[in-house]
Amino acid sequence: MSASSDRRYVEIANLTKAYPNPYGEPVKVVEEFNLILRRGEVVSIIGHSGCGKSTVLTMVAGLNDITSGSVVVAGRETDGPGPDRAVVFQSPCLLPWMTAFQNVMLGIDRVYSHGSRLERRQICEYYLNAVGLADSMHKYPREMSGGMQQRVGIARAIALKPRMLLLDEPFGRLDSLTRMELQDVILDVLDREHITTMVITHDVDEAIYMSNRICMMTNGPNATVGQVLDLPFERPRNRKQLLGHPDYYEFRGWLISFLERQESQKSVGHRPASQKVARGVSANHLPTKPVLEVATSGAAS
Amino acid sequence: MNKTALSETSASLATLVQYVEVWHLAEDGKSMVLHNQTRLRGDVVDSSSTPRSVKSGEGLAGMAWNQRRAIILQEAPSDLLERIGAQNGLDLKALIAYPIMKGHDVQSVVVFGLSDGAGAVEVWSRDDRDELSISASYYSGLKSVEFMSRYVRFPKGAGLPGTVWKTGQPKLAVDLTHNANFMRSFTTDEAVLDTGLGLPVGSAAGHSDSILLLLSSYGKPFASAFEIWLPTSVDDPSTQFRCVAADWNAIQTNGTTVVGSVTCDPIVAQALRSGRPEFSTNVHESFSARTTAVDLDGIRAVLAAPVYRGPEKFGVVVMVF
Repeated sequence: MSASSDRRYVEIANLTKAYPNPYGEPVKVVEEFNLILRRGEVVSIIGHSGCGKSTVLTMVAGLNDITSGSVVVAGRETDGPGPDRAVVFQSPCLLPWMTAFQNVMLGIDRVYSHGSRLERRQICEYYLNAVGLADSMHKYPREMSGGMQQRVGIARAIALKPRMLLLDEPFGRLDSLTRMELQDVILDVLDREHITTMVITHDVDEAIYMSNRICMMTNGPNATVGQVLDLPFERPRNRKQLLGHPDYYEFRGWLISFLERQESQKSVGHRPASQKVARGVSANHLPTKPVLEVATSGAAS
Repeated sequence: MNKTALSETSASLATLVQYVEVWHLAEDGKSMVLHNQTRLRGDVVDSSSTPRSVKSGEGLAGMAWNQRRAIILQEAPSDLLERIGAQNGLDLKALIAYPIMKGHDVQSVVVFGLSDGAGAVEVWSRDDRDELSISASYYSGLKSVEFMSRYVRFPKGAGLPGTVWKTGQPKLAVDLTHNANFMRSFTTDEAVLDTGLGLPVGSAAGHSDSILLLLSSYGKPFASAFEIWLPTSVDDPSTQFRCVAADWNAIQTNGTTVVGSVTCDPIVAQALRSGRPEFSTNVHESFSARTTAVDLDGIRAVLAAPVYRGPEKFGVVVMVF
């Protein structure tokens, strides 16, 4: 893989998802989402609930049809789901009649079908060990805590040696301590395996701790990338050092303000046009009304 | 130097811009010639047109011509900054050279001299990830915006710079404090940003090479007012032009009524005809076609700068000082 292709390892271009409204007209939930990920990079996507973050992730995973645009991973345009992209959801969704080992082996058997039985067992054991389940690999899901089950889900995803890992709020159902443990488990594996990763999260601290970059999405419909924050913190990360970094709280405060602003904007909904133009007018912002009429009524202090 | 007080009013608003030079490419294309040099100090406007020319790479205008991008000069000590400030009796904090480009060729350069006051001037350029990142900047009174901007990137179509890049059109963003899409307003600076103007610099196939972004507050804006005039049909620049965005709120409340107007003022029409920036201190004549009631008292000068999309004239940005 050349250096230039490593710099554009995942290319998401003009990604758009539209659903028909009750009148059959297409409503764009996500519109022209553009993002390029370098190889081995971790990018978090944050935004207001319902803005379309998970829609982006499922389109990248191939689990949701793309209305327009494209996703290219390692030089190949995706077309539906594939083993090059592994997904970890909030709920690990393990098969309850199988042990942790058997759950992980399911995927390994499919992807490494060319390998011997012994090799496949070793791969499975390696990744279960990597997520801290060396002593629990023969337990059934009912015998494991939520955190342990999520570890199995992570091992199952990473064991496939995906080119891209997609994490959809993977720690959303876990307590704070378990969440921090699993963040470290994942980061440790990602740093060793250099897997390009997209994380959907609502947790600002998690986004800063885990990511190289944070993609801030605008509110939907027509949600898209608002801007991208390129974090200056080196990986591998050390939580204590990061929390003590003089710039950490500047970034944290800014991201929290962003989420609060998106939340308030969402709850305000559509303000009257006169408020929208209270301090100026841009015809580009008012496409559905005659501009002159709105501008006249909207002039203010 | 031939300096004449052209207007003295008491109601003029102090703008960040206190000094303007307009340079045009000479007919032989070998030099850039000074066409206009104006000082906007307080209520006094002094103009001169001392013949002067620079070669590519010489002086600020020559640098913008040579590098085909906006140039920001602010570092002290700067001989040029100090010399221009001393010559004009101004305490200038930064000089901005804005090249007007037809495709990839610089036609003219407008140089702005900035006085002290909260505001930001940023040049956003495309990086190897096809995102815009800051390649040059000037900030005053905006420590937090300055800090965050170092780490912000805009993909195509994102934010004000990304939108200008994608469309190749100038864009005016107002009410930045309450604009959820202007994400850098979440910073902790005491100074409030009200208006943002994004200007495409050079373009091919409809996409800008780089973007010059002017951010300022109504307290001391970059310019007292801004207008953007674009073709009625964006696919056909030969059709009539319409004012698509305006912000006169720093000085008056009724200026926005011009939005939607298709009656070009003489200075706008002149910029469209010549394809060069037009600068005038004769404000009443410049705006004589205006049918809506706009109070011109206190306005000292007007700049109408053409915007190209590729080799075609595509619009005009008006700045009122």
